[in-house]
Amino acid sequence: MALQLYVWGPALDVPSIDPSCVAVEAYLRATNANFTVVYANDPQLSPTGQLPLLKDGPVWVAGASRILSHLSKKGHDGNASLSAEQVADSLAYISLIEEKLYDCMLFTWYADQTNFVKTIRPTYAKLLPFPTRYFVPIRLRNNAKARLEKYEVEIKDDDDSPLATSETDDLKKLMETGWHHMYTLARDTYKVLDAKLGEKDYFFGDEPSTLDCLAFGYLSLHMYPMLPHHRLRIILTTEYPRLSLFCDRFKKAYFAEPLPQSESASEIPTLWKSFTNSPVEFFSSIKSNIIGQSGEEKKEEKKSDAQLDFERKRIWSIAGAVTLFLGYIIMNGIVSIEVGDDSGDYEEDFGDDE
Amino acid sequence: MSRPQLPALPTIELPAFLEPLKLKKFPLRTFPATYEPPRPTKPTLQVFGPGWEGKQASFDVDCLSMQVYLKFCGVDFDVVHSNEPYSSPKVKLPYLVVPPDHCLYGEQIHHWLQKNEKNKRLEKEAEDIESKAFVTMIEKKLGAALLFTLWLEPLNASELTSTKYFGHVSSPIDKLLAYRKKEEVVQSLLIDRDVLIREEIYQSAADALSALSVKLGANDYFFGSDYPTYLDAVAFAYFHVILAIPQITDSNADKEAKRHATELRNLVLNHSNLVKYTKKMYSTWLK
Repeated sequence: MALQLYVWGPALDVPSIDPSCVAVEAYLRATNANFTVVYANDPQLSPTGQLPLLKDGPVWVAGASRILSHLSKKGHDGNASLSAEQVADSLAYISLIEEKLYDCMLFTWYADQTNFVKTIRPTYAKLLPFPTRYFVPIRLRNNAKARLEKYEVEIKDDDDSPLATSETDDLKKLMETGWHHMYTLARDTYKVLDAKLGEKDYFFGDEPSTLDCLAFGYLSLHMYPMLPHHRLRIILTTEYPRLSLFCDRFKKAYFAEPLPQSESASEIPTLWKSFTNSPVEFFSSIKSNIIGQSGEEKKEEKKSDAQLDFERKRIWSIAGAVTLFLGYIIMNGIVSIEVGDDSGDYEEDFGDDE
Repeated sequence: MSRPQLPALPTIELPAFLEPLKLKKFPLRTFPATYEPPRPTKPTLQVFGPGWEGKQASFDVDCLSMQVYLKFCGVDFDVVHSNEPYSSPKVKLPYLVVPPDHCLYGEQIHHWLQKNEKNKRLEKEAEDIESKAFVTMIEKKLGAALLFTLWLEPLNASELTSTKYFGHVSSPIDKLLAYRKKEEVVQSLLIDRDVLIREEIYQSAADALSALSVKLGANDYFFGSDYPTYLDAVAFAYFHVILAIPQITDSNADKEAKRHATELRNLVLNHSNLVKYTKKMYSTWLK
């Protein structure tokens, strides 16, 4: 059974605009899985509201980490050749990548007004279909804002403020957003990864592992996009050439051929469906299970007669209460209007009489 | 630039009977200040505390990690159980008051240690760099699970955590603060993931714990070092805080809820070397 991967589409010279989508795609390519991609470009398609989304037969898996653990259970284990200690290292570096590299990327995309207005927003606008194009970029930016709060980075909302025209203005604006922290953070993180990579082809030797896929996923979005301010790209190519060579190597080895695309399936477990299936669950903050994993049928609990009886009575009593309430309102409304009119008339009559 | 000359202000002579308006007799008497807060004479770390059962170790993981790290670095400092995050410049404990006039928090403490050449680094450069990745993993994976256990497991949140953090605030403000803190925790957890699922959070914590267990092996400190470093401080703080949470003995509580409340603790208990490490660190550095 071929796997089907729903991702954000390619943009900015990268296989996908979302790093976790690139990472999952890289993982599938590196493990030689038989799969097709669907450029869904709409996070609402996923039951959790985030791409990537994987269709494996009847099972839907949403979110990069869930997909990776699902695939490793299904025999596509990227860490198969690693020792226990290497797996431990790999996990630590993956958390570093997912946290720090992602934050640095978000910073250059959203905190830097010029990048956002000139490149990022138009790119999303091109990718997204008509109605969602107006609110998804804003949601993404709010998400970025929440993530970057811990670095005291401030992302401004006013899109209309004039863009800096001169170089010095640019620099001044960047200073205000706290760029020095973030580029120090980026350098520190690159340094950690660079030390781990060393002179090897991949992080753990000659063959790529899960860590390589994730590193490529996140680094490629630092490396390849030509943004108006591509400082991260400059830092990578000039100060950490080994990492940039790693990206090129990985891209050449695994992203040389385009992938067969496929039509999206008819019964996608969209966010809307997860809402209609269980509205209460949708709004509770802690979910009991991954919504939308169709295929694993849930057994419906049979209700006892007493329960059914109770529910019937409840429905009747609620209906009765509502009817009474409505009746009361209508009655009161009519009565009050009539009383008002009556009393007015009465007073008038009374006055006339006198 | 020459300023235009302003005309001199007129001096008004007050008539004699208005002389009292000048209030020349004030102040009538000057008293010495009744209470002047004592100035710290050595570095003072403001933390949440005291810990469970009145122990020295803080019950807050950030405070505890800084508390032990300063001990590792050989800093002579006092611990003050302030329990008031609003006293800090960043609305967050811990923070370090350094006499005469510095108040440091977060990264600044590390800079300060570095400047005084007290910070502890691993001997090998590569290992020191690698330890940063492990610190991130602990803070992210184990941190999420710990927040979840403390604030979103109903039993722990109502019986233990909220009284520990906000018990000194008078009712009903404490309830309100606890509720707000819980909402904050939910929001902060949702930044990193699309949905909150109990099993997933504990699963990723379990993965992180086994990675740490493998990394530690039978060594006294991480990376086989002879002395503890920041990674040890963070790892110990998390293990200790998780293990020190008291068990809920209330027999009326729901069994399922009880199991959830101790799930993270049991995950740590599965790794005997981590438990041994925590006990040894505690008796070496905090007793």
